[in-house]
Amino acid sequence: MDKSRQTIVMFWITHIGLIFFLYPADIIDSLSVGHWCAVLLGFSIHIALVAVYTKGLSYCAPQNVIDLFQSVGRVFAFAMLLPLTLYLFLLMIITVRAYAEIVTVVFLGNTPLWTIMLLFLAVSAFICLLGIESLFRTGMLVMLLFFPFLILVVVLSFQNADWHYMLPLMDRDTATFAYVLRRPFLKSMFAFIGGFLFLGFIPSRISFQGRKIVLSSLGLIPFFLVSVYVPLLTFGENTASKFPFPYIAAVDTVDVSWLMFDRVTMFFMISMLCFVILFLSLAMWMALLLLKRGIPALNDPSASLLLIAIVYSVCLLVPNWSAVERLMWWNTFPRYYAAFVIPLVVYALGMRHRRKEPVRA
Amino acid sequence: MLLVVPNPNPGQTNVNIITQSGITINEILDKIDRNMEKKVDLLHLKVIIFERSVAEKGLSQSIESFMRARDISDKTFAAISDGPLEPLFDKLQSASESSGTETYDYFEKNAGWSPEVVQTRIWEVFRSMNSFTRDDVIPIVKPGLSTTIESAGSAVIRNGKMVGVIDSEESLLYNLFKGAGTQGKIEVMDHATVKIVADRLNRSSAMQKGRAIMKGKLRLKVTVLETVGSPTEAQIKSEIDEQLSAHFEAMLEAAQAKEADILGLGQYFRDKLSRDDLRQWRTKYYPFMKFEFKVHVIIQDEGLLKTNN
Amino acid sequence: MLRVRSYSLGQRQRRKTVLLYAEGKIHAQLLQSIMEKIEKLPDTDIPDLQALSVLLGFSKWALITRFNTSELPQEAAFALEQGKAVILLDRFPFALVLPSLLSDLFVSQNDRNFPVIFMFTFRILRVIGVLVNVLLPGLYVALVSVNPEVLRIEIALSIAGSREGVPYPALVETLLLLLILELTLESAIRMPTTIGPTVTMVGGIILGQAVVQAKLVSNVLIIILAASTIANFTVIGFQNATALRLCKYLLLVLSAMFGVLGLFLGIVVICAYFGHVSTFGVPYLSRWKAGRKYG
Repeated sequence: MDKSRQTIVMFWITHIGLIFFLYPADIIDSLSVGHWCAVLLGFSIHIALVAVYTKGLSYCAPQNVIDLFQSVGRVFAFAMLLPLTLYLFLLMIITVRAYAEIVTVVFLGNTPLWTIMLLFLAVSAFICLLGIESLFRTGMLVMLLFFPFLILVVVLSFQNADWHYMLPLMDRDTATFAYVLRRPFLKSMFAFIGGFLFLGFIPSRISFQGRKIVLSSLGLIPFFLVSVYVPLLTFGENTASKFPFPYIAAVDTVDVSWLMFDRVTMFFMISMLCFVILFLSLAMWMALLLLKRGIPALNDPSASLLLIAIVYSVCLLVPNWSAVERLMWWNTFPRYYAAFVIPLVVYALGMRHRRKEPVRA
Repeated sequence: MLLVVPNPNPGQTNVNIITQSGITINEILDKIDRNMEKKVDLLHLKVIIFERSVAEKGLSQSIESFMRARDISDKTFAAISDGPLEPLFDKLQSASESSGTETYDYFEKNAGWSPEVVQTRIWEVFRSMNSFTRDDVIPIVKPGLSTTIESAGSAVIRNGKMVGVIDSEESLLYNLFKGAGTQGKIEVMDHATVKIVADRLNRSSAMQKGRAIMKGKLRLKVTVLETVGSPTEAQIKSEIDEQLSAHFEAMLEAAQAKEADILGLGQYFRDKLSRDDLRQWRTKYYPFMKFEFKVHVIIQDEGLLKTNN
Repeated sequence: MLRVRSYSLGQRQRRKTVLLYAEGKIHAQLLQSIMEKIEKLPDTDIPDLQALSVLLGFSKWALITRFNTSELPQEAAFALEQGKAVILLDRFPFALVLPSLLSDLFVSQNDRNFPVIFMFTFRILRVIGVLVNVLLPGLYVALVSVNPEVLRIEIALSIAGSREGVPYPALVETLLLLLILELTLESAIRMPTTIGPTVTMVGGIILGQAVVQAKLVSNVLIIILAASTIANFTVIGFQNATALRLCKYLLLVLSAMFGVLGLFLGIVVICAYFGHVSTFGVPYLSRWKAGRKYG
């Protein structure tokens, strides 16, 4: 049964949740002119990886990634998937901590940080424990409810845009791709890479067509460009680089006189947060799956409680924003591993599987 | 620092004025909070009025701290008070019958705003502080004789410091340039008064021999409101053209002398100059820029009476 | 083709039960699971619907009813056309339609008696009603006590003015008034018709004027809760309306603790719960077409 639509929606949710917060600051930091180049470069890497990954997965159809690796050998699977598990753990910690911090900064939180983190973890755990299929269905419903509002805010955010800030389009820095190895750009890739790995772990009941996923991810390009360019167009490069969250600052300047709410920003950010919670549940589900397969001794309730306890306690230990940034930098290496190695290995194993098939028949 | 705090009661809202002084804004807020029985926060702050002396010394630090504060919205209006702040706020208190939002209504487009008043928000000033090619104007207000607030032109701000003043007519031109000038009225050489119904500005920029040249053509659609004597249509049109062009050139020259690019003309040269050149826009190119300005007027109608042809 | 299967359920009160379905339209797996379940039922009595739902394997504490009840034959007939199964129990005045879906909150068979535009208008109206009912009290509490900067200043000042002198926080005020409204609603069902109008008038005066003048609640809150209660009943099905009423309290508590963030996260939690509910393998949130495969 083709559940492409649900998978596509989930795919979009996980990416959109990440795009609008931290991505623009990193891209604006890495370049001074010609940001579209950086965005498109990151995006083409992303599409290539997704295409390779889904192709590999379709070759060995009903098996998911863990089964595939285990068919080569248990040790192989363990070695390959351990960094992935580490990546997922760090990802969860960073996401919870960073977004709780953002909530406190932007929403004027008089609520202490630990309550907010507890809330995030509790809600994500609740959704995650209900099962992967209901997670996907929840994603559809949440998308239906929040997406029109999101589009509205994106359209409104162009209110103060001065299109002259688009020029000049290129300069030497951009043309020679000199920025690729600089730290901000490498950090910005997290928005692309965190999201698509779940495609390999979902059970075969939820099947999808790889081609549709790749095509639908093209639909994400406008969002990436908008999140970087709206602050640039509103403020200009100099001012935009002073904000830690440029897109939020740009939305803050929008004045909607016909709405009874003064700050559209808050509603926008909270809808983003709902998407991030779903992303968190998905990451939690993947991590639980890996844990349960890796250490068969753990069974359901204790595994999830253990996971949540570990994540929460580490989150409490992270003291401030620069520590979060350091964690994000450390997570870059497992992230690139997860992003590059796993799809390629899946593709290789898939090819091998396909070649074996005719022989078996 | 003076704060106008609305005091809501069912049915009526009074206004309290609280005064305090200190070195930084947060210090002052703390002191106020300490001495008030209600908790005060700046969440709904709508207008910030600076004293002229402060503006001339430099607004950068205050604007930066306002932008950094998470409870002050970026959309707060900025204004400069001509004289000291106390008389203005006294007038505000004594004249307040509504909910204490007069100052805000003065700037709000759907309430009491008129095109001779410039609307500048804090984030725009912040942008102009950091930009290579753009400066801003901030409206000047003073306590009115028969109304609460009177407009007294606008201040030219360059890099956060007030460097000059433009009057109401020039503020109207500034708004016209920005595309917010409809419904504004122009007095034409004591012969007629016209109201602007629609305006459109076509601009083109070019670099000739290292010198910046801009051409601008303003198309105005006006209706005639009042005439003194009986001027002809052609007369009215040519007088508008002359008057506006002269005013415009005078304003531009004055701004160029102070190296303040209030109309944001540097934006139009972003594709013609490299980024390093743009850095020196204000000092190297802007003061020598030539602007050819023409006004093309279409008189849409003449009210309920005919004029001569 | 209409097919009828009868069973006799129960030990001491043997209750004749009839399962109706339209062959060819109903999904085979659904039919299979329902029939298996009924045939394997232990010989316990079914005095009420709670017992039936426990016997059919649904959780006792579920918030969402797994079957819709209908007293109109045309609705049951329509459900059969749609490929759903209908159970008729002896001495019960309504038909039970399995499985129940989210669209049953908004879509009624009676809509089809009107032109198409009206049908869509009614459905959109019901959706708006559900959102208003569930969100509005939580939004009030969030915007008044936790996140006051979100409202425009004019509204904020007028709400602050109306709350002047109210001695307790917004959450307590809302819960108090909601409690009184719930009591009124519940008593209205059982009130004798002779006393009814008088009590309504008195209740209106009490809840309206006096409580505001005594500064026990603010008048903005009364407007909001009245709107919310009215919107509650735009939903089809009394059980669904009650389920939404309960969801409202969850959102209220969450928004009192976390503001607008709590409100939206509460919506996500409720969506997740809806996503989880399923009847005999048919998820609550699925789109339903006769004969179509789902899963």
